[in-house]
Amino acid sequence: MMEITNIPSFRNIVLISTFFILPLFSNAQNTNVEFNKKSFLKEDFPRLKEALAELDKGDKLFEMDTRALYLQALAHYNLANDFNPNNALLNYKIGKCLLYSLQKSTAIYFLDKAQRLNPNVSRDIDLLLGNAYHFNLDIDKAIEKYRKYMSGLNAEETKKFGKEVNKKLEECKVAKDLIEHPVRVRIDNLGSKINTRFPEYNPVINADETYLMFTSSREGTVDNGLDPMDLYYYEDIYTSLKNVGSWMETQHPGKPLNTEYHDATVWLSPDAQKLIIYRGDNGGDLLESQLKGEDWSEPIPFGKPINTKYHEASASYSSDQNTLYFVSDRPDGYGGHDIYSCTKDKKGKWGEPRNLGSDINTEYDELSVFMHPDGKTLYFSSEGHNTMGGLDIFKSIVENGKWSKPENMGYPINTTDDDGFLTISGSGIHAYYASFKPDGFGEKDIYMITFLGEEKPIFDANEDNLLSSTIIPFGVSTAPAIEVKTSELTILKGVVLDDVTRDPIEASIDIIDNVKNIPVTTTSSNKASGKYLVPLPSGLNYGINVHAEGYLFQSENVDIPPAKGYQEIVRDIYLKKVEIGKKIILRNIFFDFDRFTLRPESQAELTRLIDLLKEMPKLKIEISGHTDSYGSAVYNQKLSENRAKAVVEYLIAHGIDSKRLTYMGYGFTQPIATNKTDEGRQLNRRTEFKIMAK
Amino acid sequence: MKKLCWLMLFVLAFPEVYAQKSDTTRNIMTKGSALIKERLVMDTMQGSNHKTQQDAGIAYNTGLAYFEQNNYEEALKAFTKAIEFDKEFTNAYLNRGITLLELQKFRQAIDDFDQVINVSPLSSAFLYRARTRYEMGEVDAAFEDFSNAIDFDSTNFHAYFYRGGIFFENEEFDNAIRDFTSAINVKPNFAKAYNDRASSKRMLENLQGAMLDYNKSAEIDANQPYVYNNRGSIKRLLEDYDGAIADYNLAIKLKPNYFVALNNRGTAKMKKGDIQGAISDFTASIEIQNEYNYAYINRGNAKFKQKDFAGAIEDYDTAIKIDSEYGNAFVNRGAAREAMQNYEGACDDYKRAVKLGVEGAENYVKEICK
Repeated sequence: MMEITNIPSFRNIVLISTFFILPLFSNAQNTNVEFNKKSFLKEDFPRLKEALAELDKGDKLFEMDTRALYLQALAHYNLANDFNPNNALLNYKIGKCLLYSLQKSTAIYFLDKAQRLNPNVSRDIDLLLGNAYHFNLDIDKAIEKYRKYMSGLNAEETKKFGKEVNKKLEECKVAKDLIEHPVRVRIDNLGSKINTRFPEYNPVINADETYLMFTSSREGTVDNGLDPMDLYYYEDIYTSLKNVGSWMETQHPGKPLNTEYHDATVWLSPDAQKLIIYRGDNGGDLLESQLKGEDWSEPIPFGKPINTKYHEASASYSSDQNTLYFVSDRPDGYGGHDIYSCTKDKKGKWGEPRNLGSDINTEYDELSVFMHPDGKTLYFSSEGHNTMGGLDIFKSIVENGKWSKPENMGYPINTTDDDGFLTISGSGIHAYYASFKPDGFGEKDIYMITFLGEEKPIFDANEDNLLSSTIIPFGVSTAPAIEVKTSELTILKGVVLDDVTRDPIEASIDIIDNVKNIPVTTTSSNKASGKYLVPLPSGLNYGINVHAEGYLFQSENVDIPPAKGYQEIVRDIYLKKVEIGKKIILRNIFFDFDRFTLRPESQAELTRLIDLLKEMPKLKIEISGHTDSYGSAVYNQKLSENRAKAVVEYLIAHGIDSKRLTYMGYGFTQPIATNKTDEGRQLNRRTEFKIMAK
Repeated sequence: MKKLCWLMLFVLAFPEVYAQKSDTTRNIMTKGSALIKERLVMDTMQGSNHKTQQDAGIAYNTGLAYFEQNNYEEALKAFTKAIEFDKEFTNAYLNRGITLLELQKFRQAIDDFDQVINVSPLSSAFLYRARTRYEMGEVDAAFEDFSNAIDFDSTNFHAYFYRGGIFFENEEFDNAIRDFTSAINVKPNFAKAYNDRASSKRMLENLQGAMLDYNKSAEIDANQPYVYNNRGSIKRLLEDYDGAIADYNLAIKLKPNYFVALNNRGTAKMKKGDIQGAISDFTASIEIQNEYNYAYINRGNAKFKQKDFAGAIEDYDTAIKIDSEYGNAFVNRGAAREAMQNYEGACDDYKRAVKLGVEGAENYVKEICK
């Protein structure tokens, strides 16, 4: 007697145990053709023998109960099916194998045929058909099959499997609603430069969407090895740059990012200088790498308490990179994989991971976490919450430490299959994700989602003859207003170059909230290109301190007004070498209007100057004050001198030898911009220092 | 009809003018226009130099007779003759001015009204000069003259009525309502003033108040198709689509080629879900006025609702061809193109809508354009 083994615990497939399976030859229909000599002519016996051999091979793999082996079994079953397409059990098995493939909806044909050939082919045939219709978005039929399956369960079976089937029914309800109210998106394949016939997935992108990294299991990965678990090539990481709106040829960065193990992209910093990857050894761990010039550094494992012997496969930094959100299936969670956060202390040591709690985590899997650069919007995938089937992508916003109710991103972003690994661009207008679509290049491809916002209003065109006198022609009705929500984010970016040679410099860039006088973040420019990029919340005044070895530090001030959306500010920095006669403007030294009292916001800038003088004990400088042309020359000269003097006194009070310091007031005699505009005058009002000796 | 109204208005406005010339005028008028014409012809043929008041009066009355017959060229000659006979004949200047206004010889009309006002600043002279100036596009000067007309005669309801129209145009609806109310107070059965006050209330979103005034206008004069159309539109705005359709029906019955009302009725039918009925109305509107872009837009909208996006785009294309400066048509076509996943085309349309000042279109560009 042939029996079908357990259906494995796998996403979207409900657990079934062997006692559901009935002998195939009971209640057999006359259209069912068994694989035996009675069913075939003598001349077909040799082919029958071959088909039985294929069946046997397939069954051995089928019974192993793993996704990869189901797919391998399918190849053998197809050969047997070529010989005898009317065997109920074989059609059932092919249908079941197909539910583990990318072409899940094709399972309907085989499962339906199996049921027609033998309605009792298996107790779970309605469940599997429900799954197949569910995947195919034929929700009403899925509900019908799930209910039929449910009605056939006895009390004990209902206790055991009822919850899971009810979840399927609930997913169908959600699916119907989401399909009926699709979110307005356009979804574009990233094209043949990125996607191939092999799987591409896990896209990560920098803030201005010019640099893409992703994972692919394609020919040409390191060692070109196949994973015996699924017969796919081992995963490697790939990159591409966007040039004039188009993605360029994919690059394989090689070692040390890619190894003979699975190497997969996990998270990329907005400035594309820091990367988190997943590596398949040691049970699956998270590692971090930095871009040094044009090369990625050796990835360093996060270590404990982030990496454990359990599975850590997804992570995302907060905007200040002091908190890491990551996924783990460690045992203290709510079930399956959960999302945790972990924060660094002042010394850079990771604290204890905290489970994000029941607002986010469920008894099912939560995976593929992504924290938007706005610092408060968390995207993740989950099999729980109100999923429409499999893993769906959700978003939740944290306000004052409280996570909002996860919101399903909606159809067609989410489908009844597994959806995850969504990366949102800095502007919030685009997202990148991987999906299998029939019109793609084969297997999973990477797609860009454009959020289209609210549905556009369709304007009626009406008019009336409102005035009876001939002097008034017409009146036309007016249209209603639309909201988009876009993110309130400012991207500060530019290059750091040598003032004379214009060579790129790897410089450290400190961003300070001038009002609170606290550091906001620190980043660095790329050694090869000098490029830097920092996402900043709008509505603050920032001091920017750029410093590199062998150069004088440079300070900039950026006042970012509250913005109603995404904006970019470009600020290029030119660093000067420490040479006698060089002058540096101290842009973050502030005085009260018409006074020479240093404002508290100047403290960070003055501290940097003190640090410089302490680092270079032979350095002698002249502090100079400058004004705009408003007021008399005498008044301005005095004011500028007093201000320069105030700076020198501050330096002396903080331990700098007075012999190293001189001060001068130049009034408005040395303008660096026109005094005819507000902007020009603002530039002219400044404090400088000049190298007198080194 | 309109011209006759003007003359009637003149007669009503100037009882004092007729009083001045009472004897001769009354006698001649009773003899009828045939006699007047005969006398004028005789005078001309004989080269008469009788520059007497009596001759001026005859010529003047001849002018009136021609005016009644809408023969403005002959009326102009007659009034000119009257002025030649009597250079101080104020009413002849006034009536020649009105005749010139009808002939759209505005500058000359103004000269005549100036002449009257310089001699005797009559309310009616200000009224007609205001009308002339309005026709010339000199709205501020017209406004000033309507106000002068009211200053000289606070019962000049026409001046209130037209000045109310200028207030309306300037979107000063409260002031417009005040003037229309003044007109109604002087002339309680002033149906047009009720209509215009209703429209002003509508603009202030006082839809119920507007409804009452449209009702009153229709009650006074049941033969004004535009009043039913306007009331229908109020009902449409109040989502009383059956009531709206009933009013549009009345308007179309009174004026079968009223393509504006057909277009509006189509919109009301759309709101009721009668898409086919709506398409019939829009098509009928187009058949009457095949350059009516609004009806093409609405028919496009109806097809959009039927998910016939290609058909909708075809109608939007036509609407845009007729008026390429009407921004909403681009938004609608953009939405249809978007529905057909022609995102580049939609992007072009939304960009055009931005250029044409459609509020919110910048967001559409941000959302749809790569």
